[in-house]
Amino acid sequence: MKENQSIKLAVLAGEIMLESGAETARVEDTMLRLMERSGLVGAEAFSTTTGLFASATGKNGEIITMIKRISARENNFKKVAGVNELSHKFVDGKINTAEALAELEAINNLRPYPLIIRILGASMASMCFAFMFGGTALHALGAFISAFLLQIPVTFLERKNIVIFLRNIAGGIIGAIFALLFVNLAYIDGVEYVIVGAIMPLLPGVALTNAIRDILDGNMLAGSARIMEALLTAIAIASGVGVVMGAWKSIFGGVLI
Amino acid sequence: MILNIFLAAAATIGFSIIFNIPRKELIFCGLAGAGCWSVLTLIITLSPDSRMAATFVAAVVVTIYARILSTLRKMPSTVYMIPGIIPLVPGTRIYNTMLYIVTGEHAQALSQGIEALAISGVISIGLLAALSLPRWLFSFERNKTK
Repeated sequence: MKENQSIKLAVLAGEIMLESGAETARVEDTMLRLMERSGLVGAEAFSTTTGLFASATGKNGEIITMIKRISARENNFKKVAGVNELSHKFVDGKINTAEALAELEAINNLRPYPLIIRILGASMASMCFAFMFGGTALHALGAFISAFLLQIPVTFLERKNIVIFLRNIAGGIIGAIFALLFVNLAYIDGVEYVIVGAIMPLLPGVALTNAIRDILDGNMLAGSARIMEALLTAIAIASGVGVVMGAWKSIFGGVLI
Repeated sequence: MILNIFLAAAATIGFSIIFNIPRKELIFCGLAGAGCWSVLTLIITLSPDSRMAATFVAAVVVTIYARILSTLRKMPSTVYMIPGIIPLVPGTRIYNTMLYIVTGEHAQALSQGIEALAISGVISIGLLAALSLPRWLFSFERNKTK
């Protein structure tokens, strides 16, 4: 049935976007535009951070509704950009529903950058931040190494869908351990440059930005959920770092700073 | 100073790779980070006590840049915004908060923690301000882009 296909198209588009880290306002907007372009009557789209609904009235007055629960989440803006482009093409009438569905499947199968590239990207960012915050080349090297070593287990936990809180505590702990080891082996001061650099890639930039966009759009529910996510992530990282610093201080004495 | 701007660009590109931003847009994300860092350090150098104001202005600049580019390059504006604001995130203050808690200096910890929260709040207000500018300001080429 034509209406069913149209709803499916909208829900699949919304699902891909939400799973890839788009804000709910964009998800709802895209779904609504896709459904309206398909000529559905009484189209409604609703999305929170963890699921989405689409509903419309069919030709004979029957009500079609579809719900999708979103569990896995990653940051893959290749997919967000892809769906965004596709929705414009569909609204402009350049492709029909069947073609759009096929193209969505292709977008859904877009691979993220290779793991090693992403880990190196994070390490490079850490290295630069250690420099920018006033560290020396040696601190930057330490940040690079610690970030590299902490990204490996963190990415692994992310793949296993481990709760975000635990993942970030682990990140904070591992980053702090390697940073402290590095400065002590290299006989330098300024462990703060190394630790801050190493944990920067874990900080919740996406959650914070999306929270603002959601709240601005009047989507308070999704917005406050994201703010909680950002806050919890930051607290988790800080706790991880704090545990290690506390333990280090009580084992080795006052060589912390 | 110049070196730091390059580093900001490199750091932002590193972040963009974690977020899987399409390859063609990476350089524009780098520019967002570099611009953000330049605005921040420029204002702080001019008047050292204005960290909050500098963060606000930098967040506004990044958001406006992202909205203009999103129209020009037909991309969602978040693609440029998210990596662009990363240099503003108060990493050092979060670290200091933890350090002071561990060393038992609670008053210091509180002040650093509140400052970290305030900076995050200011980033948010900056984004809010620039995002609530009417859409027609940015729709010079095509008005369906968001």
